[in-house]
Amino acid sequence: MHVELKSFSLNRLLRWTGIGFVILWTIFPIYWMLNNSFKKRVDIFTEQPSLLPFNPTLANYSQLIIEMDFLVTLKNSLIVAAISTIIVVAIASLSAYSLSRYNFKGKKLILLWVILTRIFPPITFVIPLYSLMGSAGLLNTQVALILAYVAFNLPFGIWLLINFFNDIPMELEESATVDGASPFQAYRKIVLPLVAPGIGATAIFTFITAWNEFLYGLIFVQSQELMTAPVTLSGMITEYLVLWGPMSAGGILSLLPMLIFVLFMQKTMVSGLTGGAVKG
Amino acid sequence: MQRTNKMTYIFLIPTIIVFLVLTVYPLLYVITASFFSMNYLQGTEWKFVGFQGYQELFQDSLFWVAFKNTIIFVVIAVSLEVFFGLMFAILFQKNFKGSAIIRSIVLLPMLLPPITVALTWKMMYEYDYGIINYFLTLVGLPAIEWLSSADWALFSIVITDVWQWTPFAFLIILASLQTIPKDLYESAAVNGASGFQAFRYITLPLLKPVILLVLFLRTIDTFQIFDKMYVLTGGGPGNATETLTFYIYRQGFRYFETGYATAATLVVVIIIVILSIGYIKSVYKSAYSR
Amino acid sequence: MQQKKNGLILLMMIIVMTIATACGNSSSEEANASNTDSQEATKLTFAAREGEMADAIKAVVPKYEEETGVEVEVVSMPFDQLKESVVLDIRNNGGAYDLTMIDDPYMPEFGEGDLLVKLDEYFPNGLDEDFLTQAVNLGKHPYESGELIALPLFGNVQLFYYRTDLLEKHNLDVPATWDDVVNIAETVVENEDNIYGYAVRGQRGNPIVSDYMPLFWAYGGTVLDENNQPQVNSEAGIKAMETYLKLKGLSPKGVESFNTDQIATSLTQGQVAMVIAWPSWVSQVDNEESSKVVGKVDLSAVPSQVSDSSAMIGNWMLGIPKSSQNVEPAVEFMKWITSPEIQKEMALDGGGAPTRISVYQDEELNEVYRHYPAQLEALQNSVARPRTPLWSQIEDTWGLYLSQILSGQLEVEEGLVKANEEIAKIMSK
Repeated sequence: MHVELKSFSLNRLLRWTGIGFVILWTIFPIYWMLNNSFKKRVDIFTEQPSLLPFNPTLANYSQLIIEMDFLVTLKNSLIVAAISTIIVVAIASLSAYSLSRYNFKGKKLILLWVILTRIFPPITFVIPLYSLMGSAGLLNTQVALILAYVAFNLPFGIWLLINFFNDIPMELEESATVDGASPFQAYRKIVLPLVAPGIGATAIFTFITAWNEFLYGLIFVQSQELMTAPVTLSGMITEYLVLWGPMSAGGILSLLPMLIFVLFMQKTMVSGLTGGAVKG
Repeated sequence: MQRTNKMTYIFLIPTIIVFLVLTVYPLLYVITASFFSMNYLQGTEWKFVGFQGYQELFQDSLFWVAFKNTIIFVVIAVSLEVFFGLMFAILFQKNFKGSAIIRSIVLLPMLLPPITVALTWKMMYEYDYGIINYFLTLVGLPAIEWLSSADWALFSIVITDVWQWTPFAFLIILASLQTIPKDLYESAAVNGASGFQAFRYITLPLLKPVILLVLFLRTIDTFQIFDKMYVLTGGGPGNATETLTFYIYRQGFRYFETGYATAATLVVVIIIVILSIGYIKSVYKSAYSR
Repeated sequence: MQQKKNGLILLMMIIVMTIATACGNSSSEEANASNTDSQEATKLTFAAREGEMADAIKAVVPKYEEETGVEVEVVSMPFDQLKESVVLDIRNNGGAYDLTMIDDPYMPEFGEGDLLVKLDEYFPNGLDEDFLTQAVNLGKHPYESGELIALPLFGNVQLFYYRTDLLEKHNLDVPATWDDVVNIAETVVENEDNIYGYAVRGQRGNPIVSDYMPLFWAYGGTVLDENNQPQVNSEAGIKAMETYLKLKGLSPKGVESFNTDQIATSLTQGQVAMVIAWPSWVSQVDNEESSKVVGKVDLSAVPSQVSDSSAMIGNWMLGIPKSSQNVEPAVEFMKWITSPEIQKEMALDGGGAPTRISVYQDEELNEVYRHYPAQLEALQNSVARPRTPLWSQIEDTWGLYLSQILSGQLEVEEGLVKANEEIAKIMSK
């Protein structure tokens, strides 16, 4: 008994040391960014790096918000990310359901096609997508970005959600259909609530990707007032200098909405992945 | 498995529309262009050259360096990400007070814009002013030329990538871990299995599908790595951090050699498909096994 | 029944789609609205290089809008993406940009690809003589002799920065040749703690090429000979590289990945005695907020060796994309922004290096910017990078091998021979 207790507390000690290390490892670079966001350039690079901003300044934040309109930029990112997420979830769940439930000609082709678009490096689609958007008159609109993000996030959504649908016994809808429900009713009333967590997970991953996407954000949108956050942040690498302070401040400001979102969705995320992932 | 009915197709219509509209033309464009010689900036005419672009590609020693670097990078980074993701998941498996907050903290790196991740690490890697070398010398270790030595640079970028994307593996594995029924472990303990044995014979087999999923998704994404090289090293020193997508980027967007760049793209796509064919097949199987 | 349900689903899908497009539309309508406006009241869109230059442009633009009623939107972008977006737009005839900044080595590419509006008809007598000839030549295609396709907007040229306090302390003269530079750097390294003699800008690609080229020229090298054959492994190339390696040995550790930002940092933190850099850094060096060496740094033309001082010119040109729908208003704006008054204003704003002689000789500006005489001299003695549409590829290839030599992956001669072979391959394509 005595021995067991000892090994138990040793385990506990090891576990908490491990957790401590993980947190330190994760948080330090972000702390460093936060620290630098309050420093002037001359204080960022010093022979003895300072762990605290000893001459704290809010200049970086004010430069970012007032001169660079960063809040508008964040709003643009939010609009584009949110709308593309909603569309991805709506479309991906329908398709994943169908792919999970029915056998039909061309199913393999659709699965392969879907994943193939994800395998192509996004930069290689820039030229053809640009002329496509141009001929549709969509350049310099948020629609162009939303469409591009939908196309690139659908594969992930479909492949993840198929797993969730696979986990739900088919008998559930079959009995519902016997009771006179249409297939769509069966889908909406019975299956959909059961995969809600999976939908949450898809939504979160789609949102993260769209929120942080840079290349299309830069190429498809030209007006400053429609620009998204990653594009503004990349502008911190100027001709001669990297604007370290505003860059750090921008990283922190761009992280905050995501942090709130994740804290809020944490439960959905974990339980959401639970259902589908088991099947791989 | 239900038989086909109208619903199948109706449910698929939106996806099919999106893909018909947005991906068919780009896919055809890329595949066609790869057999032509064409400079987009110069507006030169499309000249059919067959496989010549591919031939030139295979003769370019820089392409092979990029190929080698990318493979090394993908293998090391993805296995570390999955390994640490698994370790983190095991550490954070138990629910305790504040575990939701701590888990959210672990996810943070994944939420940051990639450009700020790269720039912040660049700052920390600086030889003279970087915080990492400062700590190293503080504890009496020699400072390291993280980004400026050809031996270290690729590995330094691996570290950054692992920092950013381990949370992805962590999250998916953690979710899966929580679905393993507790009684499995209890009966194993009753039968005298050690903690390690339980992990080896119960946890790992049950996690196998999800580990494969993570491997698959991370391999695809890591193959496309480019932004970190672009910001941290510019592909240098020498050719130490040259990668395939960086190579394609330069050909396609600095020189606008569209034909050649698309040929390189297709080669990369084929490599990824070959690497993941096993996984794709297993998904086909599970999609039909019902 | 079944039919009805199917209809319902379709309806739902349509709703989702409509919501999506509607939300997007709000912005596209705005964009469209401004497009239609442009037929009545002209609006010009100006693609600019993000940073101090774009800031300077943004600072003067309101004045133009007030004077003429023409609206000018300045869209600023990072270096590589500026070229990408502009080329994509022109090739697709999008007409998104009416004016664009172009880095001068790309001029042959833009000229050869016929991407810019030809300007001779708008400037029948050529540009006035106040413009620096070296800068004007860059805007002609072919170089020097051809038609005008762009105006010189910002007149950058490399300058040599050195620490006056260190030179005085060790009784040294301002270096005239690269041998002097090596000697001074050695003295500094021997006698000072934690101060290095020099800092090379060694990151692969454009940085190392820009940093090495002044040495290459000073030793008498030419990149392409009269038959367009590369000569980077010439005697001059090898000697220049050997000196470059000596300088690397006198530089801080880690210079293999140095770019402009690290050069600026090591200079402003007082870590190095000499560097090659661009003029607009002066504002950083003289600013307490960003520098620890205020008043201790002076600048001159880049040292020479067997040839005369030969700094690299790096101008930003201003052109009109062929796809522009507003060519004439754009030309008017061009004339305005390159006029002496506006150049002076942008220079005072801190972002613009002028391209006009009279502005460099302006008394008020000379009081603010002590480097103007040196900069004007450097510009008048500057050398342009080789004029070929293949320059991007040559630069990348050369930069790759220079970086391999610098980081010890290859020996000097071996590396330069390989570089020469690869560049020859590019030229023969």
